[in-house]
Amino acid sequence: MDSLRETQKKYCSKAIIGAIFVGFFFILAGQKPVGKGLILGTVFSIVNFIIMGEMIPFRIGQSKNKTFFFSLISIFSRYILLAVPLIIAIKFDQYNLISVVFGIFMVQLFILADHLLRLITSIRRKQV
Amino acid sequence: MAIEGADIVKAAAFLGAGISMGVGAIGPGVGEGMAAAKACEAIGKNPKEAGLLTRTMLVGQAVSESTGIYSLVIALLLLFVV
Amino acid sequence: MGFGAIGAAIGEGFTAASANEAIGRNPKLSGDIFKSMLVGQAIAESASIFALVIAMMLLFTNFPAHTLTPYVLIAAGLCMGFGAIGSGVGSGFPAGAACKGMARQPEVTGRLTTNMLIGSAVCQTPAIFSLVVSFILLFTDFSVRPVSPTWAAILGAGISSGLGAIGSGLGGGLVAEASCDGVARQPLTATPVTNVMLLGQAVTQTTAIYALLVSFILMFKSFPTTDLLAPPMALLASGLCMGIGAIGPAIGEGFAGRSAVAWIARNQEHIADLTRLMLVGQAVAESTGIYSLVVALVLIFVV
Repeated sequence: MDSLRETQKKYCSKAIIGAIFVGFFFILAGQKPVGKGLILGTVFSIVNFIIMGEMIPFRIGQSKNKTFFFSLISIFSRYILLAVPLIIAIKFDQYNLISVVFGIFMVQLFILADHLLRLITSIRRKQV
Repeated sequence: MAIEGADIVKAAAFLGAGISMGVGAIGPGVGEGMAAAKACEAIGKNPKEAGLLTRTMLVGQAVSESTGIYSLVIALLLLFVV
Repeated sequence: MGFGAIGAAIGEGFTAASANEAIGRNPKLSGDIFKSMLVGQAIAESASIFALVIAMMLLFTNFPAHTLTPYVLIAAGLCMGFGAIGSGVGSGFPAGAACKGMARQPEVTGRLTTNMLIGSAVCQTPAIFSLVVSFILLFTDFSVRPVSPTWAAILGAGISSGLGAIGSGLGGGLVAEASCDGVARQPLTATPVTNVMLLGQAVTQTTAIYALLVSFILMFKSFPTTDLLAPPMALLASGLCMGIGAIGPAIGEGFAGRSAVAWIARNQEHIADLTRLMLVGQAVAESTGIYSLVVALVLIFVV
């Protein structure tokens, strides 16, 4: 369980730092809605990721049908959570919709980028 | 919108052509994939027979392809003849 | 969106079941397996979150009232809903295989996770195509176009990339599953296995790209006004034809790629033979997809 928390911490902190950095850049550049939207989306993305991790142990050690049912419930509950920033972005002009969408995928983007980097470095090491 | 008999026939023919080709492509696509999968497996087990296996796979795929060609023919007939 | 959620749930359920089995086999590693499951799930889920984004936009945006607006909304919904199924289920396969593999070969956990993530990221591309098409549908101003053939073009575009994405998502998932399995069996072959996996997945994506092409043509070509029923039906039929026609070949190519990757992992000396055979077999399976493309283009341009 501890290693799970560690992974979560690692990716979440990276994602929020990246989002704040890019968000401030946009705010300084005069695109305030874009920056705010990015940070808002990322915050919800992180909450979603943490809940996803917390739910995993419940689904292990059950029958196949139960697992499917449980996954469906967990997905729908997290859907409702992720719908909040989207509705905020659609209803209010202070947040840019596209940047909120990018923010929601921030954790996923960082996971992928991390593993791509690892792959590239491992291939390079082999060649040298 | 003026809808006449000939127009409806033509519209139905177009729709039919689209559905015929679309649905007709599923079966051969999956079937040929399975043939290729088995051929890969066989080469993995017995690499010396690669040439023979490739030839057999192509013949089998050509046969399963024929149903896809039938639907293509029907689609083209519906498009240009009806 | 409902479809997307079901697809993601099947995918996650599959992962969880495999993880279950894996932990049963090697209980000491449950931490690592949980970790990989979490990361894999986060990626697998993104397809259904795409669907969520589109659903929220459909529900809460105020669209200008126009005769074409309902068609746009239906098309965008269909496109993203169908598009998310394949990717959701497909990404579940490699995640499940990776969990099982970790229980078997704990030393290669890192390499396996990387392989799984790259495989599932490629599975997401058809869902991204659908997302792009939905966005373009929602943000393009169709009100200047004539109503009569354009409604069919909009629906056709949505159906084409939506249905076309199912097959590619599933097919890509099959290839990635085999490669995760292969890396776990023979960690030494990891690099060639990953390379061939990417090659096989690229081929399975081609039919989704055909569907995307047809959608773009349907969305951006301007059609002359018509009072008849036949021209709009032709456009709708071209979307259906390409969308449905893309499913079969992509799944078939996925089977071929899966088997090739699995046997490369076991029989490394014959990579060249196996890759060649895989590509030949996939090319033949692709031909029916190309027939569909031809018929779709004939329906758009000739008739």
